Amino acid sequence: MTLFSTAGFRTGRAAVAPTPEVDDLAGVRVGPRLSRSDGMALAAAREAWQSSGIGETKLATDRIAVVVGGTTGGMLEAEEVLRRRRSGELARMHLRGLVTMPVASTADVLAHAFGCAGARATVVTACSSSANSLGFAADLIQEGRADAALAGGTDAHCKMTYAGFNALQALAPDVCRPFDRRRAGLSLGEGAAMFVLEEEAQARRRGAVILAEFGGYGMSADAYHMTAPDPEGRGAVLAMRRALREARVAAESVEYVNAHGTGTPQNDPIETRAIKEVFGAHAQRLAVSSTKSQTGHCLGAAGAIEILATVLGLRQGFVPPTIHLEEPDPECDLDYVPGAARERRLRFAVSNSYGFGGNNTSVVLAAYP
Amino acid sequence: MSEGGGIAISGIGVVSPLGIGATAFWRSLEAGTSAVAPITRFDPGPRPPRLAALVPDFPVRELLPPALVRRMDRLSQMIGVAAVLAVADSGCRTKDEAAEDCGVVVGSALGNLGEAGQFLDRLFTKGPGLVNPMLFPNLVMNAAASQVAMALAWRGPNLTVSCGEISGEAALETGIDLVRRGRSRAVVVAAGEELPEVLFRALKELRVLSPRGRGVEGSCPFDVGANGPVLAEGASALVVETLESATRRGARIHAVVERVERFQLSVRNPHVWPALDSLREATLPLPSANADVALCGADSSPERDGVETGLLRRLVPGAPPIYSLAGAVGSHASLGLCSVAAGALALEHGVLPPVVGLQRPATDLLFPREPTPGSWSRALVLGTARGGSAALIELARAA
Repeated sequence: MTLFSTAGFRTGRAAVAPTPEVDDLAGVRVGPRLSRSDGMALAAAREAWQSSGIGETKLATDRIAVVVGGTTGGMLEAEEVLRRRRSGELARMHLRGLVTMPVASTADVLAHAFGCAGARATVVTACSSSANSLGFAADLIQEGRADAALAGGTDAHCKMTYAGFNALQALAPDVCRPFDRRRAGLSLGEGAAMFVLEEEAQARRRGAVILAEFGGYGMSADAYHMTAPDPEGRGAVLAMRRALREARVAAESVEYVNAHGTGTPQNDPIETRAIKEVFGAHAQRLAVSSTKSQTGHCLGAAGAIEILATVLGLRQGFVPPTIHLEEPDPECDLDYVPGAARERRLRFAVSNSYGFGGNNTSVVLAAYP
Repeated sequence: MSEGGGIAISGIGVVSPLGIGATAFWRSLEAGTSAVAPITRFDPGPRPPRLAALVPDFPVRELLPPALVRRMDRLSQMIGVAAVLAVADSGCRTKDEAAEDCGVVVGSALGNLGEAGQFLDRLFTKGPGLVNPMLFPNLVMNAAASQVAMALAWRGPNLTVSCGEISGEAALETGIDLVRRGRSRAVVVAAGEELPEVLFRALKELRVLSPRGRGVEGSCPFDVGANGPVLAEGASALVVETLESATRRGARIHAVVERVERFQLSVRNPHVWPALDSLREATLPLPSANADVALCGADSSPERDGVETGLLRRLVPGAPPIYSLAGAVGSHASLGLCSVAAGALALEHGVLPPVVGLQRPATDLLFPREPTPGSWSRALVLGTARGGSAALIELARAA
């Protein structure tokens, strides 16, 4: 962790994203007021916007939606204002540093930066936030309420979250080892991933490069506990089944599952059990991996970042690995692609995202021919 | 949204500074009561602002599972009680397999800010080893929605949405979409905010609250003396389902949501209220029929009152009476859903409550100054937010 002191914490480790060069984001006049989380979202959105070519189309600006998933918005900056005010360093609260604190602020910033006057939404379901934001955006397009959407997630590190996971003893002291019998928790990450979604026909018509197909998604609530997953994995099973049903994809057609795979003692065996219940005997033929072993747990951005990893796998014919998995847990007995990526031509994949409070989302993605 | 068949509001639950439950809330609104009062829960400081509309003690343990209540923060308790009251009012089943696909959608702009402040305060003063781990799970903004699902055993979609001052309207739109797309048979939509000391102090120091300048402190929407909002807290909840589902169950239908339309007034500045002149360039939705009454989020700040009355002038022909809750219950970011509840109750009871605090209207629009009866069939609810998002909701009286 290089953003703040970790003296007194269980660990000093984290996955820190390079600070986005906000000054380079031409045309955005809110620069000085951007939070780190806004800046990462803006950098990711600019990449998606430019590579998609959507800005060069003649779509009406009020037909382009912005949907963002996140959890803590500009908390990193707000914490600093609160700390300085508390210590007497500031004589009164400063607007700068507080104005970007609300999590919905990022969607407003993106709408401003890209001139999107269509539907604007922010979804907050802890660590499944941005998986839901992509589903939400897909719904808007399928219902004809938007012609395209800039959708994804963003979350920056902040002291509150770091201290919270530390207090729950959920942080791995060394590395995050999903599905390993020595696993001792998660490593926190941060980042943003943004996508441009649109109808297939429109994308083909304008000659866009289609990266993958968003097949469908399923949501469920554990209705069980704020931090512990349902021991039977009931909510996880419901979310995967609902997603497969919506996508009209048979479980046997799925080749890869990007697992939620936090590396906590509780999550990994329960998710394994849920995958086995949904996929039956086919579970043994699945490749299952946790890219959190590489990126850290990016919380509100995790869903979008992991969907991106899955899209890249579908597009380039590989399965991302679970790194640091060296001593398999007998309770986690699937093929978790340990150590290194594997070449494999993929047609259908599922990405799982589960959040605090038992908020479960599964997304089905398909390779685009 | 959200065109298509109407959606039934089959349950209403309210936790407000005017009382607990839709009946107590409605009686106080009709009577023109104001819950705005000097703050006693914490020391607001020697100089104004010193007023707020706070929720009195409420019977949380009688309405929510006690084991759950012990782990819930104040905002989650308010949202939780509003949600279970709405579900009880709707007659929907809970805690059995028939409820497995029922969903929960919560709207909130700021979430559990009070405990976030406490957590950070301890972190800054005592260090990471002495923060309270029990507080952290409640600091995620979706805590309330998750706890509502636990109280009801509703395992359908569980979403929390945030959209500044129209977080309540955004939650309603999301809930209705879940029903329309068949993702949920019924959804309890709830929205709320709390008023912790840390928020009051921050907004006081930022000088956004009434009284700005030398005026008198108070909540008086649409008035020439409006000089900033008076902060409030509270939660409201609606159960929404298809008309067919509500009719089949024999549920009492409070009102029908015919349309929820979110639109953008401006993309110019992400952090301020849209200027009135931005209305000229915005693509505004056309109301599908004349409204008999209109409700809006005017919060006694000149900028919001101005933009919302300006919008209503454009959107609603025929100059119907216009109402805002802010005089009676102050203002918070998720009050829009409560306005929808008030609109549904106004249609159901055939009465529009008086706008509290209004003495000298700043415009020539019509505002009820006393309980105004009428056999109305349609109500329009308007909300706007900093950053330029807006929402328009059309309600029809149940057949």
